[in-house]
Amino acid sequence: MISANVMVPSDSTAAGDFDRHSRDVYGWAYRILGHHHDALDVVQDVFLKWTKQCSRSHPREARGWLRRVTINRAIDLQRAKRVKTVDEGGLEDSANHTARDESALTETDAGALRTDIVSALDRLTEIQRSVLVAKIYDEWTFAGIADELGLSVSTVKTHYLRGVRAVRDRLRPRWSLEYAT
Amino acid sequence: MNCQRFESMLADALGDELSPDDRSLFDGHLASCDGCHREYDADRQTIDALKKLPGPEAVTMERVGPRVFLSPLSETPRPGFTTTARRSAFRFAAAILISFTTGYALHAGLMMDRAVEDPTPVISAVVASAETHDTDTLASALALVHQRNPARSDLAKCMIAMFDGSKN
Repeated sequence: MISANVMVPSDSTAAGDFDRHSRDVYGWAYRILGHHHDALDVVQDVFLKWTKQCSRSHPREARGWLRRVTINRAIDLQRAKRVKTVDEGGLEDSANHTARDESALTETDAGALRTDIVSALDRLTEIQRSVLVAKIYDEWTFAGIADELGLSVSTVKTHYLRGVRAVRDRLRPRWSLEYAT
Repeated sequence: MNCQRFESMLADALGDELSPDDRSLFDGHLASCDGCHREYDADRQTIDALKKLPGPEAVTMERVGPRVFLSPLSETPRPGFTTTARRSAFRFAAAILISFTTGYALHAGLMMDRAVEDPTPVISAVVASAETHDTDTLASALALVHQRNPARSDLAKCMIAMFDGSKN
């Protein structure tokens, strides 16, 4: 039985906001970490930050705040757990991976891909990370993301494209992605 | 359409938000420009790779006072007895009852008590009701056993009481 026993703040508004988004918090953390218990640890950490934040001022957009903090915390945790370090821009081994063919990914490859993706996300700005996660995993529209983050639609699109390109450049050395030479 | 215009549509294309008209223009340029095609393909593969990070299975959230419990849907227990647990309990009780009834019938036969009627129909009714999970027939069979031999059917009384309780 995998469950989280998370203390919820007594303030009803803050508690209600956390209730509404707790599954999403868990989902975002799980995407980054790929492990239930680690994701639950992040849920707990994010809750603590949420209570501290709400004791000062309630964020205008709870979901956007929670997404940003959850991703940051999950990446921090993943970074701390990483055993192997990868040289900056270098090849860890001579194996050539193809990210396109999902069926070809062994469990080792899947783990390596996750590590590289999280490493790539770590190098993005917070806004780029939030936009990418909201667009790719939450499947929000650009207009919806713009509204949540208080940005223009064109700015969101720019962050999205730059984020994708940054991740692409990070994955390129180890994963066969076609790119313009 | 030129490459500059293509670039301005790239975010919408990668975000699956191109209008149908723009989509046909976009695809037309893709087919004719190798450079833009390679860029788009690499970006698309990157997004596909990002999507490979699997999400969790659906979880349920239950709040009990100040505590929130998150559990995967597949592991969420249903409140009270499940149908499987209920059937297992019924079969166990039926097995005990069949054993008792058979033993009772044999005992009655050995005692040569002419007041005891042939218990075979009762045993058949008990076995049939166990197979079909028919609690009413089972309760009736028990009552019949008790009625015919009240002095020797204390266990039957207990079984009747137990099934009456479970039906409620």
